[in-house]
Amino acid sequence: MASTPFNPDELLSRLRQGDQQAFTQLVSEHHLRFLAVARAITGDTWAEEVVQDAWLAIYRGLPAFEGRSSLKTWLFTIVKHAAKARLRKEKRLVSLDSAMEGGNRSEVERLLDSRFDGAGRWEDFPGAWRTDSAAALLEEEELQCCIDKCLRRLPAWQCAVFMMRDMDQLELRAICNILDISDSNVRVLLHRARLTLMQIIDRYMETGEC
Amino acid sequence: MLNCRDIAHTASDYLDQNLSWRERLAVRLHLLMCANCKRFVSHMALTVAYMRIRPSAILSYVEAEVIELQIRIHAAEQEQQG
Repeated sequence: MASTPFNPDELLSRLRQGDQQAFTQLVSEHHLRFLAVARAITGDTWAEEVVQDAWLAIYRGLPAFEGRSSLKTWLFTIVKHAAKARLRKEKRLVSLDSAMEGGNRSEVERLLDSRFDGAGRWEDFPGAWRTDSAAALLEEEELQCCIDKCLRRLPAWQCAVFMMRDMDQLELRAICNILDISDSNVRVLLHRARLTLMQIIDRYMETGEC
Repeated sequence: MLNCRDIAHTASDYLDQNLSWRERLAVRLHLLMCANCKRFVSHMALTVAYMRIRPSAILSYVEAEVIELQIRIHAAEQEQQG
């Protein structure tokens, strides 16, 4: 698309009118996010098909979308329903506990724990970063690549929760409802994802590499 | 009394304001006294702020147009089939 993307209000209004360009923008901005959510719920095998089913439902449902929830929440809820429908069709039950790494400490948490002494005091202190500005971090092109690589390697549940919370800025309650997981699970997954990304930035600040 | 390890594992909830006021107060008191934890929490806050403003990966418009076209064709076919 050569023209400037529509702002959120204009996008919604055009989507309701069936505007083709607006729908293309919606697909472009959300397709990868939807894949992350579908992967978390169904695993890799059906994620692509689930997202295709979701797009079809969205295409049909948009003219009647009343805006009782935010557009993003509505979109992600459709992805969830498409994923659950696929699981039912395949008669597959997913153990969320095992898929979400259970309640055990993750590797990134164990690594963090190793930085403290027996009394819980820092032994391996956090090093200084050369900036305290998010805008300045945006200038670091190599860091962008490191973050992209890291996001691709994040476990599916962590990735889905992290994208919805820190990139789409959905409320925790909305994420719990979309993914059908508890508030404490969402918080644990979010914390693990943030620790992992923070570790990437930390390493980059120290070495200039991923 | 919270130790540094507790603070590190509570940092995410602290930033999201998911703590009770007592827990929040305990974290704040610790941060007043501990430069290392203050730095750790500020690094996490910066990570979150960075990820919020960072342009995220999106599909190219060509790829999105292909999907959009497939969806429209499929929807039209299903309508024809009744």
